[in-house]
Amino acid sequence: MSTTASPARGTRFGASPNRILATVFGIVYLLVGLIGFFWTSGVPFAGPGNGSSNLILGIFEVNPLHNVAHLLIGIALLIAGTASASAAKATNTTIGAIYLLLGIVGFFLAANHDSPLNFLSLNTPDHFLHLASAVVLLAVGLGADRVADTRSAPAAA
Amino acid sequence: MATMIRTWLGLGALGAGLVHLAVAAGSAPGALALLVLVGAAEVAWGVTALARERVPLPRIALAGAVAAVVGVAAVLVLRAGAMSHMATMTPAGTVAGVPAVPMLGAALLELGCAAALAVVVRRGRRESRRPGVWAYLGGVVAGAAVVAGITSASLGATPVGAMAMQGMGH
Repeated sequence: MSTTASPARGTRFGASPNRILATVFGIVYLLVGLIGFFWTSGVPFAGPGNGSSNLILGIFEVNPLHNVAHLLIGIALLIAGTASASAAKATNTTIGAIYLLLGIVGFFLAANHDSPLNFLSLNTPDHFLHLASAVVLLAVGLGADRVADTRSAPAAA
Repeated sequence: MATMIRTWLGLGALGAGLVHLAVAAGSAPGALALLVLVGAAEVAWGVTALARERVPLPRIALAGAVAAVVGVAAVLVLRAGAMSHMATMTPAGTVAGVPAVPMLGAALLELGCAAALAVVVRRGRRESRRPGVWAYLGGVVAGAAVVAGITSASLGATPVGAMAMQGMGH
């Protein structure tokens, strides 16, 4: 078995954790981005909402810009997941790093919920979700699909 | 199993490092330098553990994790001592400017890492069966949920985080 650190470009979908994760997360974020618009009527495009009517499932706060971000992330993940293991690995790692930054910096930027700095209209469940998404995407992006030969190692390297 | 343990170790170290860096942001200068050093080292080690095929420097990491847990225990003992002498107590929930609750959250993650590192050191370089794709993904998601839960709660207990929680009001 090879121990190279380069991603396995030709890994089939079912044998690549990065492709599966990118596709699943891509679909979920795409759906969340779409249904989010049902909760953002009357909410500023890039500012904090009232924190009660703009909650997806009554939990996660959004505004239209937040929905657009979810749509773009969902599309990027879905395309990468259906393309190749190397594309999925790179996309998972990149989006994981961005989410990690958002999960931490966003927490402090949104210290005052009604501040213009809270331009994504974030609340506490959002921070938890961003942090959880970040660690899953980073862990799989950095740790899986590193071997070219997946005959005996379908998962992580 | 070795792959799963290494992944959980990476996640745990990442979570502990983020909490330490967040606590450093509002700490006194002396504690700030130490916390930034520890937090940065944990984040770097966590990312390396996730990216490499073997746990990096397992014995040194085990010693570091144990030392960090002992350090937090010492802080909590100091806090208990301070509470019994109200005149010497620093602002609510802190000892020498370091908030106790987030440090306890980080210590919990470090304790988990120390236990896993002890297993890694004991096993040595013995090969183990690699997990299947779905078992691996399930393990990562479960580990991430635990780490994100402890990390979010700990961040919420930092001085700046507590302000954020109050500011949100929901």
